[in-house]
Amino acid sequence: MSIYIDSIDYQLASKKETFADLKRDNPKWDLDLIVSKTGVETRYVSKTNETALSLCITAAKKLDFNSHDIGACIFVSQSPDYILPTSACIAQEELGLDRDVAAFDINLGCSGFIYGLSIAKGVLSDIEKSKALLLCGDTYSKYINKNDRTCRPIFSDAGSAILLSKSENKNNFTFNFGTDGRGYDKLIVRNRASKIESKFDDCLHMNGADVLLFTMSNVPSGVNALLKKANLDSEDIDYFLFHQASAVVLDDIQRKLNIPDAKFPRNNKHLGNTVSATIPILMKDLEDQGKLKKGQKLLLFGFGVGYSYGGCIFEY
Amino acid sequence: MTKDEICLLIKVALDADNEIDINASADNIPEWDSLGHLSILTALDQAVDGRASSLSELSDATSVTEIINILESQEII
Repeated sequence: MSIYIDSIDYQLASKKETFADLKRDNPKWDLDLIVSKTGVETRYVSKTNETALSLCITAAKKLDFNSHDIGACIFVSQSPDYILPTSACIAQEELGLDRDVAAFDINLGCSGFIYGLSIAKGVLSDIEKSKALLLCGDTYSKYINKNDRTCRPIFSDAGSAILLSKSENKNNFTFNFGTDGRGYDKLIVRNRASKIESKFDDCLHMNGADVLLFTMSNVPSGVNALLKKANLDSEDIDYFLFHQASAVVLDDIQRKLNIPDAKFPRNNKHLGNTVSATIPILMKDLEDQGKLKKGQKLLLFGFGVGYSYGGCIFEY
Repeated sequence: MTKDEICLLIKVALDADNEIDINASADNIPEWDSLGHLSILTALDQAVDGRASSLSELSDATSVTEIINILESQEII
């Protein structure tokens, strides 16, 4: 058994933030320099009553599905509504899904969509119902200090919903995954869970140089390993859809892998880095533009916090 | 790669107004901030065929001397 992506939708947080907002709070910031490195000009920030879960639920309600067909509801996020209960259980109720549904959360960031696809594929193979809802969303802005020049100009809040269906075709997905826990504290929010470290605050902190080195040394090699595992060449891929981290990261990956612009779409200029939602949002935008079509060979790759990465190749 | 070439690489990466020499660092080059450091890392990695990206200690190397010492210790230069 395999799966296919039936449909995707997303919901951006309601408050749009521009240069002017950043400049107002941080008049000394060189925004031209920041944009040259991040590639991000506008972002979306959640209001108090908006959460990753609420954004994902809104996105899911835009999809066309029969709730009785859904056998799994998987929420990928690092900004859940609560430490407990599981946010996916709340989604099951709010989306009116049947009670014989597998609902659970996955605590992963920028690689989370790929892990979610793999796990959803596994769950669907073990249940009778034919479809799964994969919800990927985050609201990192709730963790970010307004004066943090490393995080605030990059991260953006959104929720996405991906409807997955069983396919009778043979498996057409090839995955690879990787983890390097040595980098756990290079992108971290402390003091909001069980472990209290009194010398630190509870904001998001990112060591941009360390995270960049991780991606530079792991992503191109991970992509090449994935291509080799799938027994494909770079030329066989119609689109390389990478996590939309930042311009400096994407530029390095594109250069190292020698991918032409036409096969390396980006949308972070106006959307920012929406963590686990970047790839589904990119797919939805490409589909709306008429560029992404059934039958195309796609390579997806997510990477970041953890450190963690995951990639997959499949026929759309 | 020579030390002078590394200095020139850093000057170009930072688009620095001042000359970069062996004594340059984030403390005395205004353009060498956290964003500028990202430019240095990507330029260095490109110049040494991807061998710099595996050197995690480069993330904290905010002077020309530190960068050269790290690259020399790994026999990259």
